[in-house]
Amino acid sequence: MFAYAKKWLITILVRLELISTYKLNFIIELFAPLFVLVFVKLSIWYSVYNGQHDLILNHYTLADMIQYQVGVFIFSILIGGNSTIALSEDIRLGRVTSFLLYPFSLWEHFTATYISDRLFRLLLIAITLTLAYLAVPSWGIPHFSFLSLCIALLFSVGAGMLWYSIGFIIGLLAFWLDELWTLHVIMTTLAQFLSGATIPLSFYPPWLQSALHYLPFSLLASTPVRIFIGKPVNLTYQLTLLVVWLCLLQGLVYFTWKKGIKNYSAAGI
Amino acid sequence: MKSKIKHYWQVYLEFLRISFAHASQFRLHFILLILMDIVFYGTTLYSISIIYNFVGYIKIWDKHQFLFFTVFSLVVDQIITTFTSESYWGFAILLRKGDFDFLLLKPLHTIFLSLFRHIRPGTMCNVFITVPALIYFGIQVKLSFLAWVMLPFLLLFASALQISLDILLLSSIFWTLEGRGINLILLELQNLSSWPNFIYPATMQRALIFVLPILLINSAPVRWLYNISDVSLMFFAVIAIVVLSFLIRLVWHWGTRAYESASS
Repeated sequence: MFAYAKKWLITILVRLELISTYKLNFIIELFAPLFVLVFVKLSIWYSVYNGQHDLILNHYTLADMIQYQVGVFIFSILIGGNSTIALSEDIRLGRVTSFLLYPFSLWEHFTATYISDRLFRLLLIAITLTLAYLAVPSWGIPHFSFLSLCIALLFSVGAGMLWYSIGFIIGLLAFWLDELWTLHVIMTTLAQFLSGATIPLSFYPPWLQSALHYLPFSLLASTPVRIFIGKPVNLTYQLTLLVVWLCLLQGLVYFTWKKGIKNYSAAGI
Repeated sequence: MKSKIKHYWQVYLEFLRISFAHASQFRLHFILLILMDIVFYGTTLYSISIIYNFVGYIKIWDKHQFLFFTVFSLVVDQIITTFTSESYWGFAILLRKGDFDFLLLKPLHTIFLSLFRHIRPGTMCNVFITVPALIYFGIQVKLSFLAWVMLPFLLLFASALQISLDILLLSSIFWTLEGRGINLILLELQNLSSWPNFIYPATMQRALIFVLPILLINSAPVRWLYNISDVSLMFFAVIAIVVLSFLIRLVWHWGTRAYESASS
């Protein structure tokens, strides 16, 4: 058991070291999401509200919208990112072969890598928010309770696994397809739009909101953000939806892997 | 001069031919490229449409004016993506692996060979979506006859300004040798330019017009199309492209001198 846990720990630490090797990328990854939040998203919404703090659009005041966007920033960093491109390259270039021999499967390797990415992103959020709050203390860090933060963070772990599973399935399509980055971009664009990362889902037309009610996209941004900022959420329903979709997607991961590995061929070990 | 242009044009036609041949080998990827762009255009335009269900104006523009601006920026993005951005990602690899040596030996400018080499034909096909959308929203905002005549030239002008900025920033890869970070910065700057200048705070507008002229790319041409007599932003855009051309020559020259080959 200890030896098994050690494999996970070493994979996580190696990945963390790799991430911090390219310092320019590290700095850009640190500041780019905050830059986009502050200079693009908040500017857009400030313009939409025309600076009027008492204007209410679909139950959101300007302050509510700023808090929502800050919440989206926090949880999109925690939940976003996956292994699609790296996995598809490993399959395409025959690097999967070694994982068939190692006592540490491909899924375990990529999941450990994913966990280390999450830890890195948690560090990013802590640093960027601390810097931002020190620079402009009153700018709109959401007023949250410790309990809602804990529930939202726990929920985001499940939501992160959900997004990771979607990315893993797309990556496994490399057993059949040569280029996958387009599928990855399509899924990311759709997920951003349908998850409420751009605009709160309550702004969408009723027919679209009904369609999204049973789909997993709202779990990726809208639900954890609404928990975090204290908006009413049917937690039982959202948790059930999360568990059901996680089980479905993990089943699909297993099925796709089994089908794909039968097609796999590579030269040498 | 004429023979030089002819030489570059003949080489570029070969680049086009090879890119089309390469794209036709991977038909599913070709289709997915088209679908990817359609999804992006659709979600972008629909998001703006959703916001306008709740407000009549965003600052000074109504729905059709904002959507025309957005489609204009999408067409500019389409031109960049088709003709240059595919080469941007490979530029750092060219330098790191020493393949840039071979470009230095050829009788053509290295900017042309390294940053205009790869073309993405799939994105070009979506012109059948973006151009009709541009025409539709142009009719909705009641563009003048002169504005319609100037529209294609302004699209090319905006693309040229964007490419100039991209090349200037990409030149830093001669020193950093790491392309991913620079390309991410380019994407974020493109993100900034795809919104009209007036949504940003005044200080930021000044910085992004006079220091790094990102906001001039789309805002200057579109605001001129809406009001031909207001030439201020266009004036700054023309100055920007002249200054950038000069800076590119200087910085690229420094970059090629700083370049150390890995292969020889």
